[in-house]
Amino acid sequence: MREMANVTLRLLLIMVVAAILLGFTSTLTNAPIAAQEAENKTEMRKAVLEGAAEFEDLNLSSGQIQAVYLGKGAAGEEIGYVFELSASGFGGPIGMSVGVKEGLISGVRIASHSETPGLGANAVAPGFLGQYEGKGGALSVSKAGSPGESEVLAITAATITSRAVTDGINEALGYYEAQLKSREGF
Amino acid sequence: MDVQKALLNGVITENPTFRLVLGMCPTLAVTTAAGNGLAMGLATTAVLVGSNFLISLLRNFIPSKVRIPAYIVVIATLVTVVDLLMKAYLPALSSALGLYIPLIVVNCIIFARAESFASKNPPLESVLDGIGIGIGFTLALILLASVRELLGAGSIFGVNILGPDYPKALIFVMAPGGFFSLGLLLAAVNRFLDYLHRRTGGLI
Repeated sequence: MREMANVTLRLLLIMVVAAILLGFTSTLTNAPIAAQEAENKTEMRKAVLEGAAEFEDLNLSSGQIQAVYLGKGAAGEEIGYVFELSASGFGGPIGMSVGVKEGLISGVRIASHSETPGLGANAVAPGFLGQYEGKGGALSVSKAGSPGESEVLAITAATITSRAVTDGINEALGYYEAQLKSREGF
Repeated sequence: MDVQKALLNGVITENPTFRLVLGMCPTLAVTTAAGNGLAMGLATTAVLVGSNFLISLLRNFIPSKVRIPAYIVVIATLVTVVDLLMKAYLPALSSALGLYIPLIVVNCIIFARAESFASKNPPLESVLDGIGIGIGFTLALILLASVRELLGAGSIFGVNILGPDYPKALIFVMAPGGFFSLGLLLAAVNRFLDYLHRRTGGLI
């Protein structure tokens, strides 16, 4: 009985110390982590829309589009839009940011994904995403050969991922054409 | 236990991958590219050193009847605290290694070393053991990942080796190729170590 109490007490003590440590660390790091995440998101928006310094959340969403930001330059001039999308990839949602400038893609970055390592995961490489830059209209995926003007070359053996990214981008472009183009004097 | 002995033990005698065959789940999952293997290995080494140190300090306090839950709590707390601190103050390091941290929390290599070494040895020796085993694990992961990346993508550490015309055997970067490579490497490495053992008269 005594031994039982001893064992229980010691285990309890370990748990209590662990809980206090975790609570303390969590409180300490909450604010810096949130700031870090916000900064990462801004960095990503800046990466897909060159020249933009500030982003205004337009509070829009539709289908795969989760957020739309209006990118403004240092002097407050409107530069373009950044779409934050959640496309459905092979292994789960692909979180990506797409910059659209005057109806053309200005940049694409993938923020989060769970695609197959070595295959679909290669979608994050600039070699694949760079293909979209400067393109507009309805894009499609080409499996081999040299892609046409509105085509991108699929990642080898990862057509589903390539299509998912392209679908997301098409949705952003379509939304721009339908909803945003008339909104501003671009 | 001196440094040399700890290293030799971790890299060869008790190599976690090729000798103890522990931690197979993360081993197969992350070894699709040499860079991933290196990152996972380094992250595991860091956790192993920390957990061995803590468990060794607490070795006389933790009652043996409930040692497993106690280890789980101590190690998971350590990893979570380090993960949170890294995210907050070392974001660059966190984005390189952060992906592997959750895979490590309940990695059986960590528990194996806590159970079989740190719980019976003083802190300094336990830290050395953690470094040795960690380096052994890192080297094993890099070896396995290099084979898979070379056959599956024609490159090692992202540097193309076999030229642009190499027909990539994609299966090697997928799960089945992980098993193929691991099985063949296990056989080859153990054959080589047996040979080494005989040649050195049982020294290694």
